[in-house]
Amino acid sequence: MARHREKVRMSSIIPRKLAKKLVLLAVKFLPFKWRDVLSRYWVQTRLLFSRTILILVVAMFAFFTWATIEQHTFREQEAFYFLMVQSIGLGILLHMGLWEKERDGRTFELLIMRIPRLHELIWFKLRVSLFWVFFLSLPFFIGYTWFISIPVWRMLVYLLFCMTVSLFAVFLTSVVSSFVHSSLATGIIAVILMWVMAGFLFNARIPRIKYFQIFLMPFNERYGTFENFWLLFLNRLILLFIILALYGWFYERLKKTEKWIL
Amino acid sequence: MMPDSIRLKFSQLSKVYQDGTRALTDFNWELGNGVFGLLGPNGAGKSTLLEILSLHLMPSSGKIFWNGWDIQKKALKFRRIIGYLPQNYGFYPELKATHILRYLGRLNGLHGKKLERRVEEVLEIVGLTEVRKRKVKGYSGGMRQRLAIAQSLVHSPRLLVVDEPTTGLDPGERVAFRNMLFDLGRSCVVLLSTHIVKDVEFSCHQMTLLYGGLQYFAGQPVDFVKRVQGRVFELDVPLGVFEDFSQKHHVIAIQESGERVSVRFIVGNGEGVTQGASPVTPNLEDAYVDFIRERDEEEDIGEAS
Repeated sequence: MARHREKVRMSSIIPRKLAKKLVLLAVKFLPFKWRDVLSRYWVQTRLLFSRTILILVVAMFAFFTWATIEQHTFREQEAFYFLMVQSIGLGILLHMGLWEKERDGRTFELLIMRIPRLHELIWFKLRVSLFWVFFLSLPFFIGYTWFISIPVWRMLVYLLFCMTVSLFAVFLTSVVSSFVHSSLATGIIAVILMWVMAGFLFNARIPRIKYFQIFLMPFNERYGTFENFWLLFLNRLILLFIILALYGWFYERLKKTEKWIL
Repeated sequence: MMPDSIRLKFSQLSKVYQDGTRALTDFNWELGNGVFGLLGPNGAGKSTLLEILSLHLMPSSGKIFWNGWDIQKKALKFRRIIGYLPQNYGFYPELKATHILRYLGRLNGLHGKKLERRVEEVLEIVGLTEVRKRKVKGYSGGMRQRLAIAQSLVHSPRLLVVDEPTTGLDPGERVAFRNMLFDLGRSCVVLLSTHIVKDVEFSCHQMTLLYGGLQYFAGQPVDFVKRVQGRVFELDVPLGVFEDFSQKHHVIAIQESGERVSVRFIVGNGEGVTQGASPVTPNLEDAYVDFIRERDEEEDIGEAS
């Protein structure tokens, strides 16, 4: 206990006690139902953002800001690929240790006993992490002048495209993490797989490969409006099927709980 | 003491793994309120049985009934009833005990003031009230174990399943833990799986014994002790002859004092007793050790033939 008291705490702009009182005051006026929801999100968020993950997310922000300025990618057509890469990066970063923490921390069994359906368990974890992927992606988008000056529907299309690709990265990372025990190795493997797949689909000269492309620009000037619509629609539909297949694969891996726990 | 009313019933339960390993064969047992011990050496099938009971594994055949209904058919309902302390578990080290209990309690369907009250109650039961606001990473092994019990109790389960719970506890904590289980057994079914015989001896109303996936005994611990009645002795032997003595007799415990050794040993049925040996009251450990020796010998003979 004595050692505990002596521990040096980092100073904060807001005094610790005041911050605590403010939070308690804010929470006091919330109905219990909302308090429960918030508390659950708060715990999940704390589990999600370890110090390493926080540093990596900040580093990613810094790198892409620097790269954007350095490469002068301020135009829609160029910047969009940057946004996709950033969304994928966030998806992989926030999910490379998500399941490993539960598995290696031996907390998985405690959760399984409380969330009987595996689908529920997967979404219980993912809804918080996906929220953060979306939320943290926004500053990347808003940082571009062109993005905030375009019509809302166009903004939404861009966001939708990036989020579907990010979702693909999330499930790919989750599947990899069910085979690999280290979160760092999971992250590296997921990045390599994404890189290889996206690169191959982008560069391969195969008929109709564009329907399978991961990096697809939603507003491509090369195609007419009608052609563009069907291309985008089918491309995202195929991607959604692949995401569902990855989800199914991950679900099956999770079903073999004894292999996960042991 | 027979259970007042049967609440949990195992019926012809068997488990054969995909690689052909038979982990459990035709297991039958009926349990009411109280503390029930599941005893057996490592690899006896205890964990398999608990995994099936906690719905992590499917049995190859047989059923488990809770108050007459099949738990596999009403898995969701059963999960609300059971509190489970796995052998290997972990906690989120950065969170405080209260946060963990609230978090897990919410997943159990508790909310608001009821949850707050229950968290305080279970912290009181396991004696962690004073350290409830300390992060779990600062807890000792015993405190973690108590927190593990608290998490399994937070939703007031009617069936509590604990797998090797006293491993890693110091003697004082072990006694406190046994007493706590005994108290809990008054209002719910407690199933304690262990290979520590003293835990069963001092806290269980009834026990069952597993070995190699087979059930060899089910009943009160005192009935199992009867198998070695009149066969346990103590004798002081000189240190020089102890090695020779231990090869001829089945020694259970020794205590060395200077040039002499006090030996507790069991003689086989029909075997003659060494001169000077005094009979002692047998305990569950004597009976268990004798049983394991008998099974091991049978296995050796089986392998040789």
